[in-house]
Amino acid sequence: MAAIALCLLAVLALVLGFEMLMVMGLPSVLARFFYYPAMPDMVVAQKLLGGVNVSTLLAIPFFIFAAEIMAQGSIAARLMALVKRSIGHVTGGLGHTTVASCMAFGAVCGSAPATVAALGRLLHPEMVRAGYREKFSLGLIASSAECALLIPPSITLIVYGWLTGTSVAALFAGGLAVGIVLGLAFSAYVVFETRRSGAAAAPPSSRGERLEALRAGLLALGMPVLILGGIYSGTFTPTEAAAVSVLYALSIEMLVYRSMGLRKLVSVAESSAVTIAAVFILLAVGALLSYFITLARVPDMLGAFIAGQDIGWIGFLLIVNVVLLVAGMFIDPNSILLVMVPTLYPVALSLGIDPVHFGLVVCLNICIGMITPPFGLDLFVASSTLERPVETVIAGIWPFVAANIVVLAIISYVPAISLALPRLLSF
Amino acid sequence: MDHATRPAARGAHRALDVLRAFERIAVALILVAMSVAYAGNIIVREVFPLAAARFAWIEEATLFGLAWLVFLGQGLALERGRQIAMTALFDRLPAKLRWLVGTLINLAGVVFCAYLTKLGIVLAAFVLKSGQLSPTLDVSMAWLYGAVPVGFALLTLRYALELAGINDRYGRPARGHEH
Repeated sequence: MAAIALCLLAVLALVLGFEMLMVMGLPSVLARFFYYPAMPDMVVAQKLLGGVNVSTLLAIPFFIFAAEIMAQGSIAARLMALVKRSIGHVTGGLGHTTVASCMAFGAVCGSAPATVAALGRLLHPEMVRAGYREKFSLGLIASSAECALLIPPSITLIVYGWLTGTSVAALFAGGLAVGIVLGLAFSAYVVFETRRSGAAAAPPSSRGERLEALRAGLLALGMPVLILGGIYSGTFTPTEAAAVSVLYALSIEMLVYRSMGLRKLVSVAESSAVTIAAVFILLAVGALLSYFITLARVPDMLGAFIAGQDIGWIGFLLIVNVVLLVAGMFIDPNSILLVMVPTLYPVALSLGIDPVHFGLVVCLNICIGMITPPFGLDLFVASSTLERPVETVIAGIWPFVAANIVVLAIISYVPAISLALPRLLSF
Repeated sequence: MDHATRPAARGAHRALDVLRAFERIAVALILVAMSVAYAGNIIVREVFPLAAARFAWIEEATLFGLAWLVFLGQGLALERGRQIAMTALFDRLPAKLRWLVGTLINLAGVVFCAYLTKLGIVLAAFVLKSGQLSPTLDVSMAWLYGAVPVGFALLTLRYALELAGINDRYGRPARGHEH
């Protein structure tokens, strides 16, 4: 009875607009009063700190900081220019440029909203000028940015790795493959839409222009090489790669491109720090909440229930997809991970689902949640950075949600796509 | 009389400005220092493998830095409307109801955060008394645990300022989600 009241309280707090830290924190604190009155006071504070004081998670502040430096500096624009010079002239060139630039920026940055903010302003006006419908352009930008969550580095995959003890390097390898499949699906839709709207491709670039774009973007391209090469050659752990990427981004933006002075560095550091604080307080209260969920034996009960239904892994993943899709429409990615993964992961394991495969299914679901109305995060970021009403963004998003669901079905039921690359790299 | 013109209120506003300036500088410096120290450590290790053992404390110091960065940033994040919340319904409420719900949120925030501040102090005091030392830094672990009550105290203060109508995070246009 009290458990139902606590769940209702959480839902009510969520809907009314309480900060997520209270949505997750209030039920935890009340659960302690109701169920564990003898629990020492210290345990609560200890769990809060325990959610933050984790070596694996150290990668997140570094990747957030590096992404902000690159978005405020010139790396994002240089990467986009390079992609456009290379593929802009083919049919649907600007659409493909959008997808590929988001993938390229995703390879240096682990956050979808940061990708929308960094690239949206550069790409949207060009696409509209080339003859694409506005809502298509907005939808494409908001959804292509999801690739950033899948293509390493990915903050979502780091959090999943921490929650489940799965190798982040293996998750990154799987994420690369899944991100590419998603990008290809979007590109296929771009071809279809280009035929329909007759949008023009960019004029072909001369050899000189291409070389110039390559020269201008060469150091920016060093970034994914450093991150992925460093991790998979065994030189760096993902956390170390993240720290090195900050130093690399800082040195080329400040010393080589001179796009950032000391004053700007301090303001970028400050705004990154506030973003980091907002993400990590959820990891702190999320750790507290997970602790109570585990104490209440919710995963055990759920596992026993699902085992009793005899639905097998295919049925289970279908349920996971539906539950996470609905949750993703309303709740932010990290909160979903913190609430759902500790509950669902043990069940997935007991059904013989590979941890890396399950992680990518969860991550892809979260991606879809970010672009699904009413509350998909990317929709609001696209709307606010591009100064278009959120309704227009939503009007253009549906074909991409559909494409995404098809990809989700493929990734869910063909584990080989997620697992081939990690196995090849022998994780 | 407008409260901003009373000397006591003016003093309070100035104190708040000082606090805010401290928080801003502290979180920015911690982030830059963490990044440089952590990355520098790796470069040293790659170039002078033998020196690496001498810098084993950097990983732990960076984690201390992360904890302080996260908790010192709480007040700023709330004040700027950058704490993650789902405000789609809230934003559409009629003014009166909005005020009511906003007051309820702020009130709950004050109570919740004050309570966690108290629990945090209990833990930090316990760790201080236990004399537990950090593995590589050789300082009391209370230096780490202390971040929790400080962070929640800053949040309590910010929720109280919202409740008193001195701060208004909802008035800011850029309110919303952050990743």
